[in-house]
Amino acid sequence: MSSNPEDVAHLLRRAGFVAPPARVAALAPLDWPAVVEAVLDTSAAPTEDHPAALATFDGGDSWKQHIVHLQWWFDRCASTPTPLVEKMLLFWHGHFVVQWTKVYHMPVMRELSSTYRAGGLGRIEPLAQSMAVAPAMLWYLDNAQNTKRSPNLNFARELMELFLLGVGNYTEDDVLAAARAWTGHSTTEPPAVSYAFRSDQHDADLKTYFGTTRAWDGPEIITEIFANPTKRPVVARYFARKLWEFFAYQNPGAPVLDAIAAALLASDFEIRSALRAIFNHSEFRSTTAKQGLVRSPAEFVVTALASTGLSAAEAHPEWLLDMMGQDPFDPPNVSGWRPNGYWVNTSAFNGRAMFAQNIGWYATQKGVWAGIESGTAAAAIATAEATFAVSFSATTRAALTTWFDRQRVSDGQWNMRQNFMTLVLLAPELHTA
Amino acid sequence: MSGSTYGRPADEVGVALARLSQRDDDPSGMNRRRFLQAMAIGLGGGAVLSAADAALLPALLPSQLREAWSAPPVAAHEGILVTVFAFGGNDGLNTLVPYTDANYYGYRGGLAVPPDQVLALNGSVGLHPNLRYLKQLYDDGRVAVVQGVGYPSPNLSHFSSMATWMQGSAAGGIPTDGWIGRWLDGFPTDDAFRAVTIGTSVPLHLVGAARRATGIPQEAGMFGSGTDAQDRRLFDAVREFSAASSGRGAWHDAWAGTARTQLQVAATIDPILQRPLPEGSLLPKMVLAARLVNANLGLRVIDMGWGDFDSHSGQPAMHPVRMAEFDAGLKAFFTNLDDAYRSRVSILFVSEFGRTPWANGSSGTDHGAASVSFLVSPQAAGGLHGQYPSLANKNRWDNLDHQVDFRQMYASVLSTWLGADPATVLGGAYGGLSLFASGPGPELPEAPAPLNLPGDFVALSPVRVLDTRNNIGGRRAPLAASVVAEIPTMGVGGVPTSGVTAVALNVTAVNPTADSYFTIWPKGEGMPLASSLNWRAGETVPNLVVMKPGVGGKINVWTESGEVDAIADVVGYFRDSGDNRLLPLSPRRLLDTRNGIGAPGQKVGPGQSIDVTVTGVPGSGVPASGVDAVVLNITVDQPTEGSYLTVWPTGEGRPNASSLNYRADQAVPNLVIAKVGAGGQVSMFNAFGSVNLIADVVGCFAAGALGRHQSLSPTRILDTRSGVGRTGRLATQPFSLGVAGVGGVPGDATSVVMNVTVADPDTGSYLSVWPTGEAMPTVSSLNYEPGVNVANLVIVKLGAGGAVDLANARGSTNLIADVVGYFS
Repeated sequence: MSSNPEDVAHLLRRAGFVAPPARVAALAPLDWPAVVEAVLDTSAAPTEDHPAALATFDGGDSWKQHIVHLQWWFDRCASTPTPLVEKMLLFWHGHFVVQWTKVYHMPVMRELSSTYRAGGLGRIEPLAQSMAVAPAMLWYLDNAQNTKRSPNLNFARELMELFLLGVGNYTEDDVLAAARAWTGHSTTEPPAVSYAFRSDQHDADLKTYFGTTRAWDGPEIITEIFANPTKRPVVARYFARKLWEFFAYQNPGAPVLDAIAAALLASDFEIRSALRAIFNHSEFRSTTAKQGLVRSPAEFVVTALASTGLSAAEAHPEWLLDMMGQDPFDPPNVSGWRPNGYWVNTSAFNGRAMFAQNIGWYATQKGVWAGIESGTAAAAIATAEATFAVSFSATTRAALTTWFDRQRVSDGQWNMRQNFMTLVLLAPELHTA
Repeated sequence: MSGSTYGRPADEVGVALARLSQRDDDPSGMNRRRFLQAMAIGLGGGAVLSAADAALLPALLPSQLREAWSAPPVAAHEGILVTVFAFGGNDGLNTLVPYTDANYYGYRGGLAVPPDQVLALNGSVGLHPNLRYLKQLYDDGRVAVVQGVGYPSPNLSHFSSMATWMQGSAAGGIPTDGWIGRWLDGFPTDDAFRAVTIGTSVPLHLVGAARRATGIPQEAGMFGSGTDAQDRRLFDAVREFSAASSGRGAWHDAWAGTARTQLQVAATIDPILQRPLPEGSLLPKMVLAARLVNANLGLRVIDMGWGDFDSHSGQPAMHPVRMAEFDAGLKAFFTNLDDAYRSRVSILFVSEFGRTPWANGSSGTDHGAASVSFLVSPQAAGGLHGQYPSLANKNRWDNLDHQVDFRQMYASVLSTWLGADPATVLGGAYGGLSLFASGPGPELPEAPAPLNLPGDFVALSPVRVLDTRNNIGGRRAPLAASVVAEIPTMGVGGVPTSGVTAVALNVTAVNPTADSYFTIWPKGEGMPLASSLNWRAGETVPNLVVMKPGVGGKINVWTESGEVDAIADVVGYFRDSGDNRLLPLSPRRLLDTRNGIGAPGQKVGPGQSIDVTVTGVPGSGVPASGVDAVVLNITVDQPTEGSYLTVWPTGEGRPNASSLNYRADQAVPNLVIAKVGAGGQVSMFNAFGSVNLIADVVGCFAAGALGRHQSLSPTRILDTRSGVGRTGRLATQPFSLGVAGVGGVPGDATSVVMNVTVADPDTGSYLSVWPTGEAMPTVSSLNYEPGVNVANLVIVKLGAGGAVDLANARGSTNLIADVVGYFS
């Protein structure tokens, strides 16, 4: 039994970035669970070939390293056969947040990213344990300076409030106990940074955490959250919502959350199992879901690169990420990015418009859409739909047609390709996912 | 490990801020109304058009429709609020220093501001030494200093405390909106932006249920600002994405609507950004805020913030810099503000908390509680409000107790300045603080401009009515380029409030930062293409102006570039009925200290005055009695130092005024209308160095004379650069300029008042102006150096054929003449 090509395209956009027509055509003959399994199969993921320039700390050129990192990641997203891996990387950078602008040390940032890539589809607990002792996180939330003499609550609080449980599922005493448990978990001094436990700064005394008094140590704080029978459903529900809202739509109802949470509990919190439940849920293919998300700036950049064949080094997305509102390695704050309306405002539009102009220029300079100006508006629009794997609404189609005909009458064919691509890239269809 | 091993310091403030910035979250709420409005003015929206509109439609649609947001201008009695947030927790103790409190010096040690550096406001508190301009404003009564501002049970987290301040509500809890946003929610649903923040995301205090705030950048070139045909076609197409709902869901349509809104914002804001803003953190934002007020886009709130104020360490290198930035920002705001809006702006300076009384171990202070706020406004109830928190018996982690709830400040701003019910906006009663002496706008509506009638002269001893350096005339800031300042002329300096037809002012440009000029014209009229006085950077240049006052008895003054202070001394006025009329005279020398004419043959020394007889001098034509004032062309020659000359009626006190300004070795003429004092004499005072003085009388105002003054809107009757009145530069050959019957001057005029400007002279030279048919005088009306434009007012009798002769002594120059009045 085959699947609806529109549903397949929807899944490919959500589990990745774009829906290449050839990929849709290849998957559509399968039944839906088989389509989902094909998307979840990441065995073909390319090895992580970080550029050598990212291997060492370079105090004077950290920003240049960051640009190399961004360009490498965008190119990988645009070309990988398993975009779900990179989509989950984006998810985790927005969930277990570390801001590049605070850490500003490429080896530790790259190491964190590798951790998220390697474990992004696996069980949450081991990923959380790795995250907690990653030097980037130890710096970002100040746990490197969390000492017995002077406990710092920053990491302990966010671990519960934002990373694993959500507000209302712990007490201030739990936060203090967790902070004390995490004392002494620090890093070596740069330049060769790695995790280091400093027993002299660790508080090995008794602490009462979730009602149990003993000499809690940091990692046990996380272990307990995933073991505690009253916390397990909370964690399941917390991630069920977060994942559903990332892949489908905002504010899902209780039945949806129950189903996804159940999948998490049944798999001991495996992300791949949760995604299987999400993609196979009938609500995932509803109109609400299909119209429920705005493409984030990073997703828009990948869409533009993958569709035009430009490399990130040619298109320079790093110039405009800040204005568009999303640097994938530098969320605005510890709570990560918010969806949808967070990206839809005049200043962010301005950033996307400038990026669209750049893409229009660089792509058509390379010969993309050569000769499109000699054909009809309808032919040009069909080419645009094929290039960007979208289907324009009647309103958009009318706007593009009017422009195409007026432009040709007024200015002949000069500059038409570039401006047409800019215009297409600003159409609403390119900004909903 | 130390923080410095990271590439950058921990930005906890940035983290808090980012969490307090809200972007649109609800596609249906966000742009629905704006979207519907867009459809109504776009294609197929079904709007009902009048026949006249319909006739225009093909020409207007779609690209020529004016793209600007739709707010009506701010009305005369609506206040505009500028909010300035100091991010990170401003150290109130070092901002408003308790400089006699030994506890302060005990807790702070080396971080304390020494008592002898404090700008004392009274015997116990004073401002940080870098707040010099704020101190001047305080002395002017324009600063309400709010001591001990805070709130109960203070939270020491940046995030939580900012949230509390921005929410501004009795409700507390997790905030979803802010006090200004809730106030704006009460506006009529006209869909206009009423608030902006200078930045990319709208902060919580501007967030309400209706979205009436947006962010604006500081650089030109937004998408949507292009104006050529290709750009316009592209923008038209982008607008058409929202011509009708796509049926693809709310986010799809929200995107299309946002695109349209962005084009509006760009078209509205980009022109304001075309002139570059100064470099800096707060400075460019304050300049932009003033420009936004001047543009009158209907904005009621302009928001900005800067930092970092979070001085945990290295406070001596941080806090004084922030103080200097705030002070410079304030001055830049008022320098760039049109005077027409002066009484309608208030600036509210706040921070999320103060800092600990005790210094910490790293030359810093930690998160504290109560701090100081400022409300800066011409309408402020200037002075100290609240109470300074006690510093007694503070232990290491103790903080200052708040004396005033910040919501009390908001309540005062809401009720007096924004015309709102504070209890509704704040969700509770927060009375007890009154930060304003009066509400926004002029207390009385401005009188209409006087009618353009013939007038008779009344001379005055000079009175200074404007000095932007010293808050005379209401302005305490120089004029930036393109700013319209106002000279008050009626009801001040002895000029009555009615019956005035024109005023005579000596206007001086002081310490200009760039080569530029003043254009001067009656308030309420369109700005003319005319210059009244020209200068080079750094020079101090005066010129006489005789002009009809405009609305409110005010005269506008404007400069093209740089910044400049302005001074105006009123020397007389014309009234609709009186005795003294102009007796025009051929120039006749009354004084020449080089030759012992009218005074001993020696230079006038420093601080020295001479008295010069101006009436009844044989051959001068000035009668011996019944003379109210004389019109003199005074030239200084061979001054030994930079100085100024004051001319006033003999027997009266020497006024704070100047008639001429000069550098060492500079020969400068100026037209002076001098009231005649005791014994038919006028007195002249030279401030510094010594100087020769030469004075020619060119007319007098006397009982029984016939010349009544009539103002004209400045009209250019000569511009050799563009062939008006004459084509080609003026060499040394005298040139006769017909005046009677030209530019509004009637055929029977006996004298003309005109501003003459030399432009691009190729040689140092001088220009003489005299009645056609008479002998060329030995005195000049303008002296100039190569390449330097100079303007001067002349009052000259019309000679044969209603003409005047002009002669350039050396080289050649372009020449411009603007008539501004006549006598007949």
